[in-house]
Amino acid sequence: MSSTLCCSFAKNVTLRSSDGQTFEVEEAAAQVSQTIKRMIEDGCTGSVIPVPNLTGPVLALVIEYFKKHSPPSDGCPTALLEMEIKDWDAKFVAVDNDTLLDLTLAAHYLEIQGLLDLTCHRVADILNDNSVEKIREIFHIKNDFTPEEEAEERSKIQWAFE
Amino acid sequence: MAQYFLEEIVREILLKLPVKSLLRFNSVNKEWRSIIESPTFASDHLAHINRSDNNSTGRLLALKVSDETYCPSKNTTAIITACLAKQETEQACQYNVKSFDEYTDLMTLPQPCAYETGYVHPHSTSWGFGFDSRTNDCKVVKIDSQVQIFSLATGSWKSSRVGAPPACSSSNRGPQPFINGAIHWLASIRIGNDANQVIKYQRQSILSFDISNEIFREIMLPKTLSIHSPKFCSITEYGKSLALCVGGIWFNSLWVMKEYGAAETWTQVLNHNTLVGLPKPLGFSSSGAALLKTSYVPKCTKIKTENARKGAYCFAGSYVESLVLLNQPKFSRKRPRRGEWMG
Repeated sequence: MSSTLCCSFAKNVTLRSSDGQTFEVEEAAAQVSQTIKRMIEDGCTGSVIPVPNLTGPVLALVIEYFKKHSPPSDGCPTALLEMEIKDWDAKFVAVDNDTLLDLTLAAHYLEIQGLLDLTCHRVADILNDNSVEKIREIFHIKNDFTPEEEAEERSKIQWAFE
Repeated sequence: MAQYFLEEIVREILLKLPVKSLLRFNSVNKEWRSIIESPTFASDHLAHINRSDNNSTGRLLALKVSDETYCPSKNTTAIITACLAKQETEQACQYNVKSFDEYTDLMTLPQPCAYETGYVHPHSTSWGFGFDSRTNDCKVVKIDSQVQIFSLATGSWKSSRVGAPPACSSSNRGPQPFINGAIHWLASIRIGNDANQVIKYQRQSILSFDISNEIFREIMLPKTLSIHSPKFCSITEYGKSLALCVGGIWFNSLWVMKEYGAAETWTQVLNHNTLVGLPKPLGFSSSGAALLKTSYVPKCTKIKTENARKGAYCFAGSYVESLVLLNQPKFSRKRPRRGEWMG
């Protein structure tokens, strides 16, 4: 009887960011991350789970994602709910470029496939709309080609744009 | 910030980009170039496109308008798309005009060129074109008394280990859709001769040729259609399914094979009540929009119809952008010219 009662309450876990901020979140929601899921299975639930690769603000965003994407308690998600989540996702990644990159990295580190797909699609859309120079600037990429090499790279594919 | 661009993540992002952007991004830096040019990237990218439902990166339609051009060019605006009402509603059709100017030679490189080689030949020979995903190679198939296969990777013809399908004549009308790794032709299968060896009984069917395994198969038509002459049928692709367009000049009906290879799953998706007054489409886009020749369509505006009126030859086929051929040195710098691939 007592065990049934215990299970009807949502269990929480505490996550700690690199800068020492702590967040409490439902265990079921946090398990959207495969990395955290493994840590919980390995018995980390009693103590605080460190997430050293994420700063507080990023972890806070990721937790928002957890909450929205945690498995529904009453069975299958409805089509309406799926549409709502899709809309929510689109708004969720409509952020500045640096935050988007932080989220991409967080999704990779925490193994959240849905979020990784979402952020990568968003990054791809941004890339698509910009010139090579602009992309280097936005994403802080160093150009390691010499001017001659770069000109050659471009001339190689010139025929495709004639 | 460079740590954001772990190679794994960059690769994941680049897989989601169209070919044209990838070519541009070759010059971002050396790391990006090496990811894009790696041999596994091209095939993973193609697999990603085929999986995705995104219409803008998936299959599109190419068109041939005159004997001189083999790919969409500036003068191919003589077409419109009519977005057919969704099959559940079968309501009124909604027209919209689409220019194909944006499509470049690059995207249409393999397929229309192969069609080109096919259409200049006599009808006694059947031609087809497809992509062998096992070897990442584009192949042209030629069937007359024997079966020959041209490989774009080797640049040469070889005889297939299978012989031509016996007791069968296939039709060269219209493009031969490449679906599920196989090329498809409408065919008359002989099922019996009279005493004088004159063909008496034949059955209309679809003949398929699996391009990786080199195997012929017969796919039955819907029962109500197979007794008629295939004269008024053409095979096409609808969504990712094999489909049959029935009709001569006018569009009569559309049948879709819901489950590939299973004849009992042929379903009539559009019937002539819905299609009154519409010409038979050249093909369908991945979203199910029909491509029609404009000169027949009453409601269109701002469309040049010169090409269509002059009776220029039109066809539509689907194609997929891919990096595969670009990995091969002999295709990396120049565009193949007309007829160059003939053996």
